[in-house]
Amino acid sequence: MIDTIYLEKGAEGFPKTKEILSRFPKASVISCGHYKEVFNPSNQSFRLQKKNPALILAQQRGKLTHPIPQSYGVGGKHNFYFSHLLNCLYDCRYCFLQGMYPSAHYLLFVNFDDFKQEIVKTVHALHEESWFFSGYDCDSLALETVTGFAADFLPFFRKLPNAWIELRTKSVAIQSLQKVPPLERAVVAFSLTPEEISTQLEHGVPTVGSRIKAMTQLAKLGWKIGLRIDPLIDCEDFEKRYQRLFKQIFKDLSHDSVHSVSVGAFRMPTGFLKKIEKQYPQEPLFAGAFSVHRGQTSYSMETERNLKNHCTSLLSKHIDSTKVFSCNI
Amino acid sequence: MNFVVAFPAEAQPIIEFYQLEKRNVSNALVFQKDQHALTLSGMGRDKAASATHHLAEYLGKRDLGWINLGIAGHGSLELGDAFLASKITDDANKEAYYPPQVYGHSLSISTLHTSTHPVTQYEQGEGYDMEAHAFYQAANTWSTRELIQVIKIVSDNPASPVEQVQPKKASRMIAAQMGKIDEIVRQMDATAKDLLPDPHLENFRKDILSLHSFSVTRTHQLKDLLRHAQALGVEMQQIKELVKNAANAKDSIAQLKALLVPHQKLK
Repeated sequence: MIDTIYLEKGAEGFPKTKEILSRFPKASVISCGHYKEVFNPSNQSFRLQKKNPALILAQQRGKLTHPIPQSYGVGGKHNFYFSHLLNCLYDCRYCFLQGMYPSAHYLLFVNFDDFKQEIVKTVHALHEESWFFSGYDCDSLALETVTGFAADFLPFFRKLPNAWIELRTKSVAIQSLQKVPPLERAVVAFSLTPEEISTQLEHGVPTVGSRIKAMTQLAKLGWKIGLRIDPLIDCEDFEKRYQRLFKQIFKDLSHDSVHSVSVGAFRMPTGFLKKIEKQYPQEPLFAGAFSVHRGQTSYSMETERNLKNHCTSLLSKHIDSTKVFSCNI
Repeated sequence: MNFVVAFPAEAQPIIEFYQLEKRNVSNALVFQKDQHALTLSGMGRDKAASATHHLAEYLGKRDLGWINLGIAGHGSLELGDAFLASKITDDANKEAYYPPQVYGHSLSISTLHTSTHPVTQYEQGEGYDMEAHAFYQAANTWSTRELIQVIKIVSDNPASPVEQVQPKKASRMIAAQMGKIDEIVRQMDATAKDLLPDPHLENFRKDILSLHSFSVTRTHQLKDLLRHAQALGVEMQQIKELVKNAANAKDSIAQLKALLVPHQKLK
């Protein structure tokens, strides 16, 4: 799974580094002064690297938690994201990471304790409930066997009053969650699109059915579930497909176990989209009927409104509308 | 594949393996056949960089595959071993290059240090040459990094120092590794081919452009629309008829946009 590991000098002494290196004894380990020497240079092809990404082990410096973009939240007052990992195991054609980063290598920041310290500081400074989103620049669980992120951070959040964590994923790697009692202030959020869309755009991602199965298993164990119906893709038979998806989701999933549902139409910073389209000129998604608003490319406002309205209307048959949140540009 | 090689003795096995023929090119020694080309640079950074640029200018295309191939010293590998450079440093330049390791292969991998003078003190696990860093820097202006690699065959090591290197022996060592080298060459060539614009679409676009007088802006719009049409599976013949019957370039663009609308929902 990992053939090549770039090891930043500053990351050498961390326990997480030692743990990962011992897990991949056959990997070639290449030392670098700073992760940016490998990750940041221009003139790299995200698409070509995606065929065989390396793992970069590095130390993150500077600010480690950041306010979330507007409308990313699910009802909390104070919302932050933190990125222990940049890039994703999967290869979803609509993903903004392809346009944001020059490299497809997995960049793991091994100084987990520094992230925790900053989260504690943030929580203490606010004296109110705060949300921490862990799957903004990566999938929170897909590389769990490599990173051990959930196994490491869940016990930490369990002891931290006033702090919520969202694990956002398309993975079925839920073993580290199954092993422990559910956390009161954790949401395991699954991103889902209809099977027909997933097959076309979500390369390497577990099937929709298997994700729903994993989600249902967690719900039965008492975990709070998030549904992320994002991005909505304008497609043939839109209503039928989304109706079928929601039926499939709620067949065995109790609506009580659903913490929140967020709905957002496909959107992307225009600069990112141009970069991605250059790499995948044959991709039908990018030939869609888009318009540009405030530097973001998305469907026309009317189409976006229609897609969301159809979707929320379909969802209302299964779940209370107070649990549904809209992600806008 | 484009090879940049310092010495004739290093080039000979490559020329033979790919049956390259000498070309008349001013300011450069170039051998070529089909998709393969080789230039002889001579020794050292400046010559390697200059030869890379010359060959790239002669070929006139971007995003082709580039390999700097030759002999090198090494602190721990055996004589005759071939290795793919994973990190290239230089004693005259702070920037290190990390050729992306995206290909399957059966070579060793090693860091490589480019130095001004032949190295006689070998460090464990380190390779030494005199061209790779400058080659990489030059090729980096012509191709994406995944298409630029450095392969070296160990000609000297602590047990057999650089003074003992003989050209004929170097040729034999490289020749013995050509099968493994070719494994990477094939993958890189396939990758480079995959990155090229679709030649059918390029020809079709030229064809369409000849039907009306397109301004620079409309030429760009047409390029995007044709790419989208192809991605959406619209018949090219239908487009040709539409443009033929359009009043002018502006009308062609408007009609093309309208043609795509019913196809724009994802299937």
